[in-house]
Amino acid sequence: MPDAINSMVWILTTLAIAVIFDRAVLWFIPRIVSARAIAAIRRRAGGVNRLVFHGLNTPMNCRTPLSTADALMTLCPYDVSVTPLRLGVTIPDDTYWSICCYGSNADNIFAMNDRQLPQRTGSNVFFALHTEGFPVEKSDNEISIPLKSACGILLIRTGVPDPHDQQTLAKLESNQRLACVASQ
Amino acid sequence: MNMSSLQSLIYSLLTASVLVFVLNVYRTLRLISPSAKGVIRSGSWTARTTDGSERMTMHQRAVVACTGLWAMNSNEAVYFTALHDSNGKRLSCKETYHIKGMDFPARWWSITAYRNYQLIPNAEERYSFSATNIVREADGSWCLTLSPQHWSGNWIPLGNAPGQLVISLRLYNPAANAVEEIANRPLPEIVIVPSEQTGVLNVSTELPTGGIR
Repeated sequence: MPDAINSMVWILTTLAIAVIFDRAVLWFIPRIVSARAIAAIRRRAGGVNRLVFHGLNTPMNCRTPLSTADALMTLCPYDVSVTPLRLGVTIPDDTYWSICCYGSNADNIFAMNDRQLPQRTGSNVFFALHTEGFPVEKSDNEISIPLKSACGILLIRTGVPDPHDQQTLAKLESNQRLACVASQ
Repeated sequence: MNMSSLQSLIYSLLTASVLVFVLNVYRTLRLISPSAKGVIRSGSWTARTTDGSERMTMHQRAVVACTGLWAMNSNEAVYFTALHDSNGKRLSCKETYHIKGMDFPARWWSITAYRNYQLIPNAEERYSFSATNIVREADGSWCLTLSPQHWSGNWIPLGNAPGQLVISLRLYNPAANAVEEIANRPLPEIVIVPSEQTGVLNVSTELPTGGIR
């Protein structure tokens, strides 16, 4: 009888360890993968709440699995736990453009494309990133982005009609490089 | 703790690790099965409508982080992936494939080739074609060639190294009825080109002047 009890205790202990281990692994994997990628971008940007223009992904500059090869990227590791982050961007004409925020668990917690903007393309648009419930003094012409996650990464994507059309590429690049942190 | 308790704990940990491994292999197989919730399957192409979104399960979130970090949610983009050709044979960077199709129900789309999930280095610096730079026939159809050998027209070079070819089709701003449209008009087939035909410039679509290299 004591052997049966011991076996049952062992099985229950093993199952409990398996459940805890499983939950922990699945919780940590996206956060670790995301944190490592954000840390690399933060080093390039020189800190948080700074934009870094990445341009087009190539095999030489990007080891992210299944990375897009037809969109210019601007990245910004954000931390809005203390104060909102204000960004100014210029929206290109006639091409797909989007701004996306990803939380610390890599979830896409905010996405907006050029067709969803209240302003017309070709104009300067201002965004204020802040945590949900944070009282933000909103100025005119500013789009509020309430975030569930105080830390994460912001990605601005501009679709490139043809990566080999140097003239258009240069125009889109210079346009995207105009993106800047307005204030914190 | 005596020796037998320690031994029992070690066995417990090992067994728990094996259980977790087996469970997650099973979950991954379920995640890519056509009957899984949120999976769209059309021929060789598979997409999950919950990728990138907050509706992902813990397991799916971990898989997406490892295989396609920072995916956009399905309102913004749908990512179709193909690992097999239309005959169900695993895609290989050593082979030549044709994909013939028309526009997709989305504002913009692109098709990208990867070797083992990474962009493929090539002298042409060509990794993808999109709705805006693919060369079309008069009726709007197009033919895309993925090959390690040189082809004219819409050619994505696969380089010289062997490996698993992965093809990604991205639909940016998919139409609200994209899923129904894809069900009615399936996504293009991925057809392997017999080896005796490879290396021959037989793609009917020619290079535009001053356009694509």
